[in-house]
Amino acid sequence: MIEKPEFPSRLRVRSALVFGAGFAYFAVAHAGHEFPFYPSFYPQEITVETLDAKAAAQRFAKATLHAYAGGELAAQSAPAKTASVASLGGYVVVTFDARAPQFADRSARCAAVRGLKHALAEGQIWHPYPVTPFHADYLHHADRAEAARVAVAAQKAAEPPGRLEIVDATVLAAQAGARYNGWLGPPWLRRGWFHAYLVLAPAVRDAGARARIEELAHRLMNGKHANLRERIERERELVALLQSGCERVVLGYTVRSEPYGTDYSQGVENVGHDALDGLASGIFTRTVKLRDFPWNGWLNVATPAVPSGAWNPVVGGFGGAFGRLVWSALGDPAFLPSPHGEGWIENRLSASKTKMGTPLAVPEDALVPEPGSGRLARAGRGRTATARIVYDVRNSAFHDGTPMSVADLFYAYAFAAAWGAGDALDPGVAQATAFARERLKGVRLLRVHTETLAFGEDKLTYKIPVIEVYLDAGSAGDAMTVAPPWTVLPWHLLALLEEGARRGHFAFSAAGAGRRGVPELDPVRDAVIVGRLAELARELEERAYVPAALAKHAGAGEARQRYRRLREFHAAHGHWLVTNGPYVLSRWDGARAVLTAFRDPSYPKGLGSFDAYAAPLKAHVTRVEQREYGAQVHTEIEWLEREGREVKIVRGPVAKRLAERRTTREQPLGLACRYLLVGPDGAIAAAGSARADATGRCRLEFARPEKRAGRGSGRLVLAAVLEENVANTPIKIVPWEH
Amino acid sequence: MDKEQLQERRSFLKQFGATLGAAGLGAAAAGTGAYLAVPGAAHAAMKPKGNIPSTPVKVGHITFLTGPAALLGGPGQRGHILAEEEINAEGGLLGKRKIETLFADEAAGTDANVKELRRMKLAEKIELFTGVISSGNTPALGPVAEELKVLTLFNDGCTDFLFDKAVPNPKYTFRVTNIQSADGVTAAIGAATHWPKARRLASLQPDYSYGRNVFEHATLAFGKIVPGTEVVSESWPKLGTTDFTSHITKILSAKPDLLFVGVWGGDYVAFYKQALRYGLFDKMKVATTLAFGGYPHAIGKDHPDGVLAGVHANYHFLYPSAERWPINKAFVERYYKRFKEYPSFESDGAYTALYLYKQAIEKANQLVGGWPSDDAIIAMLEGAGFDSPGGYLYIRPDNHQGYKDAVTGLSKNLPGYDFPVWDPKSIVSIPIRNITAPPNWPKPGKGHNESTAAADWIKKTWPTAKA
Repeated sequence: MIEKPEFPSRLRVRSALVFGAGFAYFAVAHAGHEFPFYPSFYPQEITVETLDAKAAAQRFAKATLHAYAGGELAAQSAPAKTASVASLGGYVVVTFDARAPQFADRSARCAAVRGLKHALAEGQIWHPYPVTPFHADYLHHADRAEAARVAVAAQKAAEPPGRLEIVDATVLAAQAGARYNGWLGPPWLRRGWFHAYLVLAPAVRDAGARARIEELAHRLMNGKHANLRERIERERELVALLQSGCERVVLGYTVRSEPYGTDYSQGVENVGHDALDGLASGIFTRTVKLRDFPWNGWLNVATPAVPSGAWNPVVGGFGGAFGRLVWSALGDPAFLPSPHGEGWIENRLSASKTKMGTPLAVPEDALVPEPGSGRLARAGRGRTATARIVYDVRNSAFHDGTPMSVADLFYAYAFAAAWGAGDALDPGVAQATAFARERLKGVRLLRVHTETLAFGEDKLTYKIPVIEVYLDAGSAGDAMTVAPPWTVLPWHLLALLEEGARRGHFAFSAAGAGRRGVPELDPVRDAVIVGRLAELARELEERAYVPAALAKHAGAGEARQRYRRLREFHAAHGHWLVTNGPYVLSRWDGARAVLTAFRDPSYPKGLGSFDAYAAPLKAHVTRVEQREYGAQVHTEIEWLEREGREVKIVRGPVAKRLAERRTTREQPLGLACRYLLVGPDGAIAAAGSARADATGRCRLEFARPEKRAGRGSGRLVLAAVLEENVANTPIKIVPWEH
Repeated sequence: MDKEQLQERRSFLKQFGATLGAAGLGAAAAGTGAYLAVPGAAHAAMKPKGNIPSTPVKVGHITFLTGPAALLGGPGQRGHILAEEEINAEGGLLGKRKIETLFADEAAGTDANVKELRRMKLAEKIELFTGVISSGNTPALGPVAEELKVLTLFNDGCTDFLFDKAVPNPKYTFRVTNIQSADGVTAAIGAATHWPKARRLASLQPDYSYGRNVFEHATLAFGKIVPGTEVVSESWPKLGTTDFTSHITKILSAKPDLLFVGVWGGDYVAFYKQALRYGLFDKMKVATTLAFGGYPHAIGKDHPDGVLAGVHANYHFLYPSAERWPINKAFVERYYKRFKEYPSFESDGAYTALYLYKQAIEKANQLVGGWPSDDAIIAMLEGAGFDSPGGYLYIRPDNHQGYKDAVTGLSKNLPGYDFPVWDPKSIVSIPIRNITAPPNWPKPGKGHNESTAAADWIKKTWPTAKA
């Protein structure tokens, strides 16, 4: 046992300083050292502004701009010390005029498409298939995409039947997205088949095909498939049907190439990006590091267009690269989309236990939000659900200093129920929360436990609510993101905004604003709304207003204190955008947004938390051997090697990497081979994933019933995938004798 | 420099034995004469006595591999790797037993580190435990190492508390780098050497235990050796402070002659860049404990010249100079060739720890033959001297603490480097015996309540300079 020393008075151990929510404190004590955990991410300040490409190039040349999100520089104007990240830009699409007699026939339309390769402009990539290598599910379609490319190789050039159109992939996803207060969805938002559905389904004219398409999409959205093979079959059938009429055809795609400065010491490194969203994504702000700083520093990012749409933190909002970048730093979602993978990264929640399948009884004392009123009622007897998920919630203080409580978490459900249905319905809230509201069957606080990160007597202590959620949901991976116990906004801010909406000052969505003839909520840039909220906040503080749904969870004294803190925040910053994210919107001056790192000890993520996602390292299949049991696959992988100030990607055998890695307690190398075996008839004979062994070899065992696929030549489509980085991973298609 | 200043400086240097410029290398291990191996250098192979098994020696090494402290842990890990590779290239320890190291991430926190040490010993059967950066961790790991009877060579985690209180009578636990109190004292002596007329002191320290340790020992030591000093400004930025403006303006308004700074890593970089805007470095002298504490290349060229740039009182790759201490020259060359960067004090510490182990094994083998027992190795470590890249190192037998001359110097942008280094003429080297409490000095709680034995010793034995 360590005996505590006694100290002269000025060095005596201070009592623990309780920070923020009371969920974290940092005790100043003896015997510490340089403190090895820093909350929030590398840059201490991020400035976002708007620049055209010429001005951006000039700023890069002067090393006063670090990244150009959503923008590109012409090759000849890119300064020497820049690099770029690539992400999916848009689909190159052609739509046939149904009234044109020469294209009335399906076969004529489809034949015409095959000659359009030459019609693509420079920078547009010929890929006559609606799922691209940037999608995490591309492997499921790679053989068909390859076949489509090959099919046109010998075709004569033809004139396009109309103007080629670029469908921006980010805009497409944003329109179909359901962003609500830190809940991101729907779970299938980033999948290739869904993008294909969004782009092509509206043009399908055949009623039979249309009905089957909707049926398949519905099944995929609801996880109604027995296994991976069945899921892939449905995805392929859906995409085939979408293309079958050739009413609208994807010819290819564009690549967004966003530059960033690499100069030492004025540039940046560790630049994470998203395969679909590029730099204007959460992974960028959580990884980017200024080269001149081990941490801290002032990051300057520009976008080519001024902010579009309202800065609405509740639903939708924060459109365009500017808005997405700002919100990615302010709004901390429950889960982040895996930037180069199919799934989700745990951010503020971790789903610790999941039960799926047979009907589960929902506990009587679980809370169920009542549609229309938002009242949190007891579930009572007789409710069942198909999934139970237990979440550990990583609370932190809000930017106004308010401790985060379970009431904040529950109020997110109450708000969705109140504004997503009933008399007060806001169509934007209803749309964004529909999937969650339909599936949520109950939510209950199980306990609050404590976790401590200690280095001697210097401690960060977190109180972690453990909450169980009951749902009707399909697959486990998707279920955890459907209705997570999470909020970005404190309940007192939501209550303030509700009061503003009730009094007709604004609506919670663009759709709601259009319907009611009022502006959409923008608590930052709309001066009238900002002013009216100030009056309301004073009133709510005087009334010590607690929403009815929280009557059992919050008292008048707490309410008064919360509104006071909120008003103080507004007085200091001039806006009402209080969140619990890693950055605070310090100021918005009409042209630029300045975000400051929220280095509050209660914030649970720290420098380096997402470094593993900064470089999407790949694996490569080097050899495939057919065996009696299936196939043996040999692979090589990439890893990072630091050389002084530079980091480079090297490739080699897995065994060499393991020898280089030199830590025994790391997670096992996340290397797996994913495959689908296509039979001679084009059906999927087998599909799955096998982990690689320490030599980098995967043993693919094709299950017996599937081995009985008809005799003849098929194809084995496979990829070696490292750490879930499946987007743009090299895919091998090898002939396979069944 | 005027005549009066020169006289003051000479007087001071005489009193504390500090040397200025590229001289130095005073023997920390005066009287022991126990120097054996020269690390990494080609030397006549020692012929082991007796039968030596060929099984590998498993070594556990916990250091910061992720998070901000990887700035310290990364170079430490590389120092260890270099030593391991060099030793294995010669056939291993005693030419037979190759080293296999199990690394683990110290960022997991103290409790997890303790569990990992237990696992390493009980499940992996390590024979040696090394590494550890955090001073919060060594006082927890030291007692466990004693309980598990696992030979341990910490290469940092330098709190005085480890051997003052946590493990007051160590058997298995040793530490290679200088103790934490030397940090503040070295900054004070370095500052007094260069700026003996400074009287008005300001302090900017992180608001946790490291900062308080630096503040206490720096102001205590400086007050003893420079007459008539007063602390005119104290600033304690909280964990995570990024805007130092209010601290800088407070410091400027106090008009100090000298500012002691203990903030480190990215916080120090943010501070100095903000301070540059205010012209702070033109208005006062600045003495730091860790400005050059991370990767040498991690500091930008805009860092001002003339700042006392601390290295945790331990090591900078340019000192001892190449011509005076070829061991360091060879070490830096090999390290650079292997990792394409220059070593830090953590690299030196981890590299030295492994070679110190090798030296003790070889010496014990020569005495008793075969693979030596832990008791025999420990006997050879106690009182050992070692020619490390950073100079002479002495392991004091009473407390198992390594002592080597403390060093600091003034920053300067020199041709040939993309980052600031020490001005060779400005390096201050201080015999460690003159700034640390001697053997058997009472520990805290044993007749005094100072925070460290060093503080008590300084207060009671250092003469106070007269104005």
